[in-house]
Amino acid sequence: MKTELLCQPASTVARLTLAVGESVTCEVGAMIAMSDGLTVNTTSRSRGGGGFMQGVRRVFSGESFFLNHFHADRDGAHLIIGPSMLGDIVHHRMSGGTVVVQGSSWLASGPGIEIDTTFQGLGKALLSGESVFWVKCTGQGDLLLNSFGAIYAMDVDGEYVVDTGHIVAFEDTLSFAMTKASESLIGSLLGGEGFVCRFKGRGRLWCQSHNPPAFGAELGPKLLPR
Amino acid sequence: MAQFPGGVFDDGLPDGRAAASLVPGPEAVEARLDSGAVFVIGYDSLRMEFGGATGRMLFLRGAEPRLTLFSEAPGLLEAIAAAGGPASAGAVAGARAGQAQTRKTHLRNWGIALAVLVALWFTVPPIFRVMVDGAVQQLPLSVDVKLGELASSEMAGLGPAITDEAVAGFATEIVERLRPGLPPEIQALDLKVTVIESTQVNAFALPGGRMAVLSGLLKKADGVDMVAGVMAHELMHVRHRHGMRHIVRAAGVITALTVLAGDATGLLGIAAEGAALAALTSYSREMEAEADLDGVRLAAAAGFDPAGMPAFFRKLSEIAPDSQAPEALSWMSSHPRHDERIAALEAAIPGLVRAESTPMKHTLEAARAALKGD
Repeated sequence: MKTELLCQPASTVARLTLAVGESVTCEVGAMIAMSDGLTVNTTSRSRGGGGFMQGVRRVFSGESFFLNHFHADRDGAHLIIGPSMLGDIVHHRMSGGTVVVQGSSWLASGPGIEIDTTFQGLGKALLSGESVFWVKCTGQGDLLLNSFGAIYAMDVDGEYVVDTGHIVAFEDTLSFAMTKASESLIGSLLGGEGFVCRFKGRGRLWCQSHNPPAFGAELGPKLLPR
Repeated sequence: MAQFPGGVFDDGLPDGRAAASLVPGPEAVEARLDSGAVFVIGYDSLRMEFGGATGRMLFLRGAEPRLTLFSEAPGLLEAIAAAGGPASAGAVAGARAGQAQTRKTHLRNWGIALAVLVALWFTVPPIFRVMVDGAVQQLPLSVDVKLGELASSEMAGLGPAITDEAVAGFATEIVERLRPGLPPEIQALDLKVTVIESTQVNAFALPGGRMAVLSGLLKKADGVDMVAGVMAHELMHVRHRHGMRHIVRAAGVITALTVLAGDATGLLGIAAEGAALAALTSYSREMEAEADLDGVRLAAAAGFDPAGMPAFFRKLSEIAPDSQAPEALSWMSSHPRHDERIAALEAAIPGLVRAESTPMKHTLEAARAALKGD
C-alpha cells in the first residue's frame, strides 16, 4: 500500500493506493472518494478476530462500532480518506509492538494490525480529559492517525510532559501518569495547566497542537442560539 | 527454550527499536530479531522493572546503557527465575520489589485523593458560606432594590395584574400586618405586593421587597393563615437577602471552578458541573429552610396561625405530588421535600408566641369572589 498525505497540514487527507489483493481497514465515515476496483466490506471485526464485543469496546473509546474494510481487486485502485475534524494525519509504519491511540484519533490501518481497546485506569480517565478507553493497535503494517490541528512526533527517552487533551498516541513502552504541572498544586491550578500527563520511558509519542474540548469551550459561548 | 514476544531498544537499530523474541537461558536473556541479530544481557548485570502503558511490561537492562529488552508476555519473569536459578535471583527479586512498591504507591495516592476529597467536602462549603455572607453584608440594600427592578419586568410575563381592591387590598393588608415584625431597614423598603392572574399556586419575592402572589394560591388556600404563611416565607427571602446571596454564591462557585478545574474535561469536567449544581441547590434548600422557620415566627408575631404554613405545604403536596424529585433524589431538588419542611415547621410551632388576632378588613372570601372564574 502506498500512502500519500495531501492538503497538509490543516485539512489533510490521505490517498491510499493498493495493489491487487491488498486491503486496508478504515474508520467508518472516513472515506471521501475512491476509484473503481475496490470492494467495501463493513464488519465489527478487525483482522478476522474479535467481533461484537470488540465493536462495543471501540464505541466506549470514541471510535465506531463498525469498521470498513477496503479490498483491491486490481492494481492501482485508490482511496481517499480523511478525519471528521480539521487537522493533520500522520503515517506510521509499525514493525511490531503496540501503539495506544487516543479515542477518535485512529483513522486507518493495514491488515497486519489488530485494533482493540485498553483501559488506562480510573484516575487517568478522571484527570486526563481523554476517553476512559483507548484504542490499542498491535502488529505490523501501516497505521494512520489523525489529530485536531497539527500533529508532531516525539521520541521520548526519559521524561516528557504533555498537557491534557493534546495526546494523540504513544507506544506502549511508555508509561504515563497524571501529575501537577508545577511543584505547587496552587501554582499548577492558577497557571491554567492543572494536571498534565507525564510520560516516562522510551518510545514514540504523537501530540496534537489543539485540544478539542478546550476549543469547543472557547467557541461554544460565541455561537448564537438557534 | 521458551520464547516471549517483545522488542529491543538499541541505538544501532534503524529507528532505534525492533521487534524480537526474548529467550531466557541459563546465563543470560537473549533477544532474537527476525534479521538474525541477537542481543544478550547476562544475569550478572541484569536489572529488571515493570512499566509501560499498562504497568505490566517487563524492561530488562544490563551493563550496556543504551540496550533495553522489553516484553509484556505473561510468565517471562517466572521463566527468567527458572532458567537462571541463583544467577537471576537478585534481578527477579528487584523486579518483584519494584512491582510491590508501585502497588503501594498507587494505593497511597488513592488514599490521599480520597482523604482530600472528604476534607474538602466538609470544610469548603461552610468557609464559602461565611465568605458569601460577608460579601453580601458589604453591599447596600439599594443593590437588592436595583436587582429586583431588573427582574420585575419578568413578573409582567406571568399574567395580568389584578387591581380589584378586594384582591389587591387583601394581599397588601397581609403584608402590612407582617411588616412590623421585620427589621427597620427592611420595613423601610417598598414592600409592594401584586396579585397576578394565574392558575399556579405560588408566590415569590424579588430582592428589594417586590412581591407577587399568583391568584391560584388565593383560590386553593383554605384560609387567610395559609396565604399569610406563604407571604411571610417570601418576606423572609427579602429580609435575609437570599437573592443576593444566591447570586454572589453562584458567581463565586463558577469563578472557583473555572480557576480550579481550568481546562479540565472528560469525567472531571462533568464532576465539576455536578459539584456546581449540588453547591447551588443545597444552598437553596438551606435558604428555604431559613425562610420557613423565620417566616412562621413572623406570621405568629403578626397574629396569624403559624399552622397555616405547614398546612399549605400539605395542600401543595396534594395538588402537585409529582413536582418534587423522588425520595432518593431529594438532595438534587432546589426545594426541600414537603414532608421534611412540614416536620421541621411542626417541631418549631409549639415554641412560638402567637400575637392576639384581630379580624382582617379584607377577607379571603371577598378576594376569591372578586377573582374571575371562581
